[in-house]
Amino acid sequence: MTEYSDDERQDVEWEAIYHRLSAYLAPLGENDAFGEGDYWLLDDNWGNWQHKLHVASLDLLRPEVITGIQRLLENYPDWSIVVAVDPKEMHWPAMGLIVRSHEIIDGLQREYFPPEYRDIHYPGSRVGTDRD
Amino acid sequence: MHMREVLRGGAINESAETVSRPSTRLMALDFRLMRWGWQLDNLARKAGFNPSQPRVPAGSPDGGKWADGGGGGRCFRWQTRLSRPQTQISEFSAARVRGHHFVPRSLFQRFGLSAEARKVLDRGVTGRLRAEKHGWSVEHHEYNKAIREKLSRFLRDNKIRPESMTANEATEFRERILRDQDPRIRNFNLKIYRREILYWIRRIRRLD
Repeated sequence: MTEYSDDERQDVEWEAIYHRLSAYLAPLGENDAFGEGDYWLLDDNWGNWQHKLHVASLDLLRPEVITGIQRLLENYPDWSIVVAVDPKEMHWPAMGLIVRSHEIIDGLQREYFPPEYRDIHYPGSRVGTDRD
Repeated sequence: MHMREVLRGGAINESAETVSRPSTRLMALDFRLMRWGWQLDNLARKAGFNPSQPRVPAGSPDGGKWADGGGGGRCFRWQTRLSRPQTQISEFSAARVRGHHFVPRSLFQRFGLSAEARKVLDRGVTGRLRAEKHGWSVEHHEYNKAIREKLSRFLRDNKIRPESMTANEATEFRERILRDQDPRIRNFNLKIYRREILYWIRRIRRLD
């Protein structure tokens, strides 16, 4: 069995999750690095055990989409996907979700959302703390 | 000069003095500090130092000291090595690049750049960034837009067809980006470097 150093495992897993996430998101909207699409999945591996998804379309915050993202991490307990809410032309404070295989940390500030999105709830989620 | 002394000494003071007037000189200094940081990282690794090892929380008598591990989350195996043949390790390492790309990868495809240009630009990265997880969504979008404009202008002004862009042309463009004074570009890169420098200063204090 192949044994990786932590750095190499990070590389391998970053890429595997990136491809899974790309495939999952592709039918849900347009990926755009310039803030002009529905989302942007950061395509640089900065070296952390984290992927970052910038979401411009609030439709991508639907619970079924987020739990789908969480399922992609089933075999990656060390990883998290940060879903940063970044709507076009809206100067909202930094907010988002941290999705891990075993939990969803909810840092959304729903008071900024249009009414139809204010009741979004993620089963089993918890509110973020300063330790997150 | 020992690396710790370098980071404690004139270089840092110079950075502090010039920090309010960003310039190419400061950018160059930041690059040097980053490089020293990476070298320190390699030295620390060779010495068995694990910067991610859990620490005793602040407030307790041993606050800040290394814990024995098991602090939750991942368990690092710092000394582990691949059991694959060495040749495969080299190929593996060469195939991957880490860090912030000075020319965003998304532009390679959008402009339909040649394979050799992509190869050059793909290597133009900061290297692994340890300071913090990625943030700054809006700034990063603006950075990407600025590079898109610059690349478009560079190709037009030099009458370069993207699909025929040579390695030399790609290198020249990458170097221009590193020297560019457009605040959308310069400020974003400086922000990354400064965070990384602060990270290493904090690490060095802990080593003391």
